[in-house]
Amino acid sequence: MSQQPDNTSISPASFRDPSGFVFTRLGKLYRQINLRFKEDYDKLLSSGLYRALADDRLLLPHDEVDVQPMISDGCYKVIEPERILMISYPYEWCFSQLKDAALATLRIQQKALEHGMSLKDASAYNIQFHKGKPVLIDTLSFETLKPGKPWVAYRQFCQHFLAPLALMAKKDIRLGTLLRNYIDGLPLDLASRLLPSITRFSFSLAAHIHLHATTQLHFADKSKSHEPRSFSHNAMIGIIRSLERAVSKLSWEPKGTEWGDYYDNTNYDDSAFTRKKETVADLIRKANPSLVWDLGANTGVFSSLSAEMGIPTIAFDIDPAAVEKAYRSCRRGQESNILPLLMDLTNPSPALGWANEERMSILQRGPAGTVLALALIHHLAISNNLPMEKIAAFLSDVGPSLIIEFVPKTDSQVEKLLATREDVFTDYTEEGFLKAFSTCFHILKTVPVPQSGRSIYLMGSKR
Amino acid sequence: MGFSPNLLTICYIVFSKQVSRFYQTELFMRRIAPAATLLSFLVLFPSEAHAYLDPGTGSFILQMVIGAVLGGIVTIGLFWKRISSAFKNFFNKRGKGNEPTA
Repeated sequence: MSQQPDNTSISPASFRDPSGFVFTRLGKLYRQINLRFKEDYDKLLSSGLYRALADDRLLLPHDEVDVQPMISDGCYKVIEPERILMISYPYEWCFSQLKDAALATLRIQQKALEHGMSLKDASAYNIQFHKGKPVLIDTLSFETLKPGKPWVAYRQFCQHFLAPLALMAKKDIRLGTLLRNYIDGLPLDLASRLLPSITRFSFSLAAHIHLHATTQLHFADKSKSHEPRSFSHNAMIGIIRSLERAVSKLSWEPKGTEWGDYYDNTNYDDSAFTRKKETVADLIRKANPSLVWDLGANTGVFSSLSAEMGIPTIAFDIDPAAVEKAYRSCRRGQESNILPLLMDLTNPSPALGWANEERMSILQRGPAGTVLALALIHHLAISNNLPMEKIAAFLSDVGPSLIIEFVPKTDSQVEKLLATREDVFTDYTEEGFLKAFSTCFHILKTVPVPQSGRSIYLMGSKR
Repeated sequence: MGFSPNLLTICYIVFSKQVSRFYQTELFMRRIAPAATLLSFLVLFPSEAHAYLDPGTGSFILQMVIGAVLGGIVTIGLFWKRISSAFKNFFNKRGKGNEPTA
């Protein structure tokens, strides 16, 4: 990150497109638009496309601002986009989030075509979830439609959206995490090899993935940048509609996975569960955060407590089915304060890309105001053999306050974890837990959960 | 649409096999190849390329092939819409014309 004396820095992820870049100054985020993008930017506004997209909440709205550009040379304008609360990446999205992001990209392209413009890229990283909906954050992604030319972002769309969605729907939901390895989208030849043969009998998957992969390989060593003059406007519309049909037809139902029926199998009854919810809500009110990270959120039952108080909440879980259910429930109830994300806490999203700076690690996207860690500690300490001290240190890195539940060895959930293995966890006691957490946190309040032997603590970080 | 599901893949395989046989004939090597190369340079090659994203040659060619098919369907759809709306208008007008006037 290039840092200047006045606390200004260019976003390290913003280097691919010479049309402009994102920079931050004194905590505010700006986008510089370079002169080379002047015509396209002016057309985006004058054609009515910007208004149409902003009204439909498909493009992140911005204001033109009169601030010193980051690099004066070649600068046309500086804009200040609406601030996104939490940047998330496609490898952290559940199936329906990636699908909705894909469909939003295609709707944006259709609207752009209606206004004589076209998307010049279709990167999944340009879509972010803002107030519960997928929006395009890159105002520089548009160019004037060049008649007779195919869609320049077709390959990128197939790699970033169609191929991972097809693999998740037709092969295995966990293949979505391949996007973490391939940050410019899945290679189509790999997707083609991994997909079941039956997908060759679906016109859209045969054309956009299998045949696409074959054609890519065939022309791999041939000359680049062919520009035909015979690609009609209807051909462009046909391609976009076909991609839309392909994406719409892909579906995945969350069932038969790790936590699907977790709340049906707990060892306390409805009234105890209601008391637990009241306790957590009470502790959230006491902590009074501006942002909550719910770690191990499952389907987001406790995330909705903070969301209902108007606090933006990120609901992390390791299980794609739980995240899918949480997202669907938010979408149904138009709950815009919760963002469910897929996250394995024992191997959280690292910093990725060029110089490890393009995509931020999960901790770089913090801190959270308050961390919720309910029914989580036994999974970390017992299933993953993590010492309590390490768990405490990590959680104090995540945010300044913590609401954490201790689950004793007598609990049926812990008994299950220990049923098939030797109990080597001599320190796994409430005393051991408090001793380890006292090194990083002040214990502010303790509330026992009725009928369960569990306790919930509100803690404040010592940092 | 009345498509055989894997029509494009089959067409592609059959087409490329026949073409490769044709490539080896003397007629192709002496006459057609140079002319076709020249023509393809004129038709296919860019007058300018400002895109920062590489669209990929294979992706480009594929879009042209399936774009022709899918674009054709869009065109037929639009044509059909026009015909059906013309018919509707025609019958609506006739229907209105037959209504008794007050």
